[in-house]
This record gives sequence, structure tokens and C-alpha cells, in this order.
Amino acid sequence: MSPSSPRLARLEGLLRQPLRVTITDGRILLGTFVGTDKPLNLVLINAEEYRVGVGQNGDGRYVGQILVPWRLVEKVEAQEKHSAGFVGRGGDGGMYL
Amino acid sequence: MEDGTGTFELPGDALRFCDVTSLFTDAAADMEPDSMIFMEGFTLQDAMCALEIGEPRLDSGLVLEEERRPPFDPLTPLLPEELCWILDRSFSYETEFHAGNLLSHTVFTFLYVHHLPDIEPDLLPSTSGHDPLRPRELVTLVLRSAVQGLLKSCDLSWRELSKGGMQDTEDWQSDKCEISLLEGLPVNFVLSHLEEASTWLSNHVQVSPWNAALRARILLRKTILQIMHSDVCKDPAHYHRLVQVARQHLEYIEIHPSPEYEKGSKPHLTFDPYIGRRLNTFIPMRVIPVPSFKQTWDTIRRLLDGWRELTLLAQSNSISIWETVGHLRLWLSNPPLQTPYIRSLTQSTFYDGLLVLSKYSFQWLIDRFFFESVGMTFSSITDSINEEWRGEAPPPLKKVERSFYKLITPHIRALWYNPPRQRRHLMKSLVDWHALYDSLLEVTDEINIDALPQNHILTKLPYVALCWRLASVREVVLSGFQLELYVAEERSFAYWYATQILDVHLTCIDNLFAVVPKESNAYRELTFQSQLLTALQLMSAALFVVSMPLMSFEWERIRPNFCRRYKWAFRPEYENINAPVVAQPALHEFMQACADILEGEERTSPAESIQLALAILSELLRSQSFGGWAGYWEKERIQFVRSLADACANLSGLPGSAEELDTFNAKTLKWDPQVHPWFPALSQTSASNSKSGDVNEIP
Repeated sequence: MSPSSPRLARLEGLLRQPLRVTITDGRILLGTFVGTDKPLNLVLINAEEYRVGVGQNGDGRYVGQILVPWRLVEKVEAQEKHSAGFVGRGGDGGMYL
Repeated sequence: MEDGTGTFELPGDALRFCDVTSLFTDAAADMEPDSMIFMEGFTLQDAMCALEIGEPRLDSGLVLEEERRPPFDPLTPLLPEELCWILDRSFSYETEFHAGNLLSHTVFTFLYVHHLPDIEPDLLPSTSGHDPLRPRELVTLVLRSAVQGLLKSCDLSWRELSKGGMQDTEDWQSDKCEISLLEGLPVNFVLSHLEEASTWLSNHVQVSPWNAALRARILLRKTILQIMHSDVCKDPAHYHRLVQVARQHLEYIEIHPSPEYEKGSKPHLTFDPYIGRRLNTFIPMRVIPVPSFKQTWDTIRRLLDGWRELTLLAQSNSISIWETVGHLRLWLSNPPLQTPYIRSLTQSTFYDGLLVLSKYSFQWLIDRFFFESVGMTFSSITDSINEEWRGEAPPPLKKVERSFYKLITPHIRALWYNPPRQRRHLMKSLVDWHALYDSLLEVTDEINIDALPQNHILTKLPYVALCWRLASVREVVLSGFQLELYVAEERSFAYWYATQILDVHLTCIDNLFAVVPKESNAYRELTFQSQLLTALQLMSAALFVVSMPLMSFEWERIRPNFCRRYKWAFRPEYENINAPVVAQPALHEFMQACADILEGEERTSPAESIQLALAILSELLRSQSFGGWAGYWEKERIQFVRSLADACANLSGLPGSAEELDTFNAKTLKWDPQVHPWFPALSQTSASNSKSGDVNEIP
């Protein structure tokens, strides 16, 4: 599918990039972004789950390939690019966690 | 992850993340309905394999509202009585791990397991405030040592269970969820911590009356760890002493139970049954019902009983005693089957992969096998063989020895498998027993038997292997009842086949009587076996007849079922062995036997058979002769004979004549392995019509 708008192009630029997704129950999911759809179900691979806070073990738990429904998403974060915009598809910044 | 300023470092901070939430919402607005964006090479089908976060059945990390708990602070001061309760609960969860549950559902729910570094006294700053009722040492010294002891006990159990005798995910669960069981910590180091805690408590016993009860719990943990760390074969007396000491501590704990606490109280919050949500495991979350403290102490007492029995077994130096005990543990419903840990330890004690009972070679094992079966050693038998051998090539004794190596230790160890596994092992071993029988026949073929005296062992040598094989076949058939494998239609055949096996077995025993020294334990054992098997045969014969109406008599349906159920008897390996297989199941013979009974050609009275069996069993109980190889387990043998006699009494209402047989309702036969592993009882309605005056009283 070819992007039809600059906003979609920017979203596509996030594919293969690590995302940090904070969800409503306090968990933080860190994984490689591989896809989404119009309702914004986020698919992450090689994901790890973290819990942060008093009495919580800060070590991640490997959860593999996950789908995060948008209704649970509080915040999505992507890696900051050195220059403006984000690393695009096929760029050399692709990485798996 | 706390950075010391009260805020927490977020995962992946090193990657310098920035918020892109709005980018997603904006892009979604531009997307066509039903359109998707995927990384190159990633398809919708791949995406469908993803676990959905927030879906309780898939998301093992989802914490539901009702599962939310306040943050856990491992340094919260505790009262000694609260600590008693906490330690008791940790014992409860440990017994559940031994019962075959996952560590993540049991021991790992104890939150201190995950916070040991946080209660390390050397790393803690000194505190100014001091509560004399809740000294910090209770947590940093006493509780810490108890947690270390618990984890080390689990580590030693894990090591024992992973030796191969028990099946992972069948008998026990090996998943450690990447949590340390203190594998790298020496046992003596943990023992020294427990000793230190015990000393601290005895020095502060005046502070709280609960300190003595707490000390008993610490000492129980220490003694359990010492037992697990000891080798029963090296010093059985010391092992036995440790078991006795553990019993004393257990009794003290039972006299001083910990107080009850409300759900949601501080002691309760030191356990999180939902901890699995935060551990590295793919196994779904399950909350294990925690046994009561009484049940816990009963389970620990059974664990101690298992260690005590092992001490006795380790000193018995007799493979027949080991075999007897293994069978009794399977046949008697009380005590119930031991925990996988004890069963594995029993297997390792018998054979550690190098020596039998940590001191004997295989030669000893073969000598004992013959000595216990026929009253003379294999060495003396081989001397006779070499003397009488007429063949051109040397006698195939090496082949015989190899067969023994392959058979005996796995046979004894298998008695401590779980019952279905044991049955499977016996089924597989039957070919090897037959090969051994064939080798012994090969030996005797080249000996001029006619020139030997009638009571010479060489005249009956193959019967020794045959007896062991037939006992295994019998166990395979009868254990089918215990494991509730047979449907109604199969039962009659199973009992008929049992009578055939027992018939051949009794003939073998009769042959051996002539060659076994009369004053030997082997002779006493054969006498006991002969009587027991006769009673069993009579009971099986009666049950064969009365369970016939449960069959449909549609042979075309029965035949494939028979082939499937008895496939172990028709393995292709038998074709490579010269000797014909003894006591094979034969459906056509069974059909003939059924026809003879139905046509009235075979006179039969199930009631008389049961009555006769009861008379034999009663005589066994009266004579108090329970064989040559019962050892300390004579009482259990009595219990077993008595259970058979009880089964006879339960069957006293069976029909006595052909006319009664015609009107007998076979559906009144009820099989319940808890009542008897192999034989049914007549249900109440039928029992009321029984002629109880016709049967002998059980002594």
C-alpha cells in the first residue's frame, strides 16, 4: 500500500522501529512496531512487558508478539530522531529489541 | 529501577523516546476503512498469531481490578506470631509444589522469594527507631534464613526430580520462570544461616512466647534440608535420626499452631497468588487453593514417612523386598501414593546409575535375584552349568547376564513410577523377560537334564525367568482395573485371561518347589505366592463368569478392541525369539470358554470359587506366614491379604448355580479402585439377597 498522506507516511516510517507503549493498567510494553490498522490495534514483536513502581520487579518479562488495542493505550513513544522526522522504512536505524 | 530521588527510570530510556500518540491518531484519520499497514514481509496472518493485551484468556500479565494489591515492602516489621503464620503458609505452598503444581503457582507466590537482596542485613542502613516487639532481625535474620532454606529445599527437590525417573509436566513441573532457587549457594551456607536464626531466637525467647514456636519452624526447615542433603545409603542411622528429629519439631509445631489472620492482613499480603502475571512463564495463571495447616502437617508427616521407609529399604539388601514394597504401595490405597520427590529419591537410592544401593555391583544383583527366587546364587548355578555343559561352544552365560542387566534395575525402579507409566514399562519389558526365558532354555537345551537328579536347579532354571514374566503380565492385566481402563465389555476377558496366566504361574511355582531348599526364604515366599495366586485365580474365575453378561457377544466388535488392548502381547520382536510365548492372550480360546459355560458343558459356581478363595485367604491370615521377603512390611502384606478377603466378602452374594447365574444381574457389580484395585463389590440391592451364612468369617 502506498501512503496517500504525509501523516500516513510518517506512521509508516515508524515500522521496524522500537515503540514504548504505556497502557492503562500501568504496564509498559517495549517492542518492535510491525503493523497497525484503522482502529489502531498495534502489533509489536519481540516485546517485553515492564511494571514500574514501589515493590515492582523492574526486570522485563518477555511476551513475544502482541497486539495492543488502542482503547488500552495511554501513550505511544518512538525513538527520537537526531534530525527532524523519523527514521523511514528501509533506513539503517531498523532494529529488533 | 528507582533512581534514588523517588522517581523511576523507564525501560528503554537510553533510546531517548518521545511521545508520538497524536501521530497515530492523525494517521488513523487518514486511513481507509479496513486498510492496514504492515512492515515488509509481515502479513495479516502473522499478525493473527499475536497475543492480545487486555484479553484475560490470552494476556497472562493482565491484573484485574480485584487482584490489585498494595505495594509490597519486604522490610515491614513483623511480630513473631505473624512470622509463624507466614512460614506455615510457605510450608503449605511447598507441599503443593511437591503435589505436582508449578513453582509460579505455589512457592513463588511467597513474595520474599523475590526480595531476598532487599532484606540482606549487611546492605541495610541502621535504623534509629526500634520496636522491641518487632525486631528487625525477625525479618533480616529469621525470615531470610527460612526463605533461603525453602528455596534450597526446592532446589534439591528440583535436582532430584530432574534425574529422569519422574516425568516433567506429568509427575511434576520443572518451570522455574527464571527465578533463582539459590542453585549457586552451598547447602551448608544456608544451614549455617538457619542455625544462626535458631540461636538468635533461643537467645531472645523471653521477648515473646512465640519465639519458641518460631524456632521450631526454623529447626524443621533446617532438618528437612539436612535430610535432603544426606545420602541414606552412606549413614542410614544418621538419616533415621534426622527423620526422628524432624518429627519432634513437627509435633511441637502442631501443638503450637499459628494464629489465624484475616484476608487482606499483613501476613496474607506477603503471598501473591497472581505473581505468575509478573514472571517469565507462558503457563496460564491459576490460583491454587491453599491446604489448611493441618493438611500441610499431614503431608509433611507423609514426606517424613517416605524418608523413614527409604531408610528401611536402603538397609534391606534384598531386591524381592524392594519389589514387594513397590507393589504394596501401588496396591494399597492407604497410604496413598508418595510424592514424586520421594518416588524419585527411592529410585535413585536403589540405583544411582553406577551401583545398586550405592555399594553393590550387578553381579551382586544377579546373585541376589537367583538367591531370592530359588535359594541359590547365580555363581553356584553357573558353576553347575559349566560342569554339565555338553555343547561345543561355551554356554551363553554372558547373554543371560546382559539380559539381567537390562531388566532388573529398570524393573525395580519402575515400581515407583506413576501407575500408568509403570504399566507401560511392564508391557514393554515383557519381550525382554521372554528373551531371558529363551536364553535360559538355550542353556538347559545343551545340558543332559535326564542325567541330573530330579531336584537339580538346572532342570527348572527357565521357570525362574518365566515366574517374573508372568507376574508382570498379571500386573499389566489387573492394573487395567485399577486404572479404570476397561469398558464393561472387556472385563470378562481380562478376568478369564488372568486365570490363564495364574494357572501357568502356579504350574511354574509347583515346578520350583522341587528344587528350592525347604528351609530357605525363597521356599517360604513360593509357598505364600502359591496360596495367594490360587485365591486370586479362583476370584478371577468367578468374576469371568459373572461379568460375561456385560459383553455384547458381537465378536466382530470385540475383536478389534481386543487387538488394540492387548497389542503389547503381539509385538513383532517376539518373532525373533525361538521359544514360543507362554500365556499369550487368545480370543478364540476365550470364545470357546464362554460357549462351554453358556451351553452348560462347563459346570461352574462363582459363589463356590469365592468361598474357596476366602477360605485360602483366611488360612493365610490365620497361619501368619507372609512369605520370605516381606521384611518390615509384613503388616502391609497382611493388610493386602485382608483387602482381598474383604473383596471376597463383598462378592459373597454371587450366584451359586447355573439357574442363579441365569437370573443374575451383572450390573450390580460395581468396580471402585478405592474399595479394591482389581475386584468389584456387589451393590447394596444385590448384597441384601446374598447368602452371607455360606461364606467363612474373616479372622
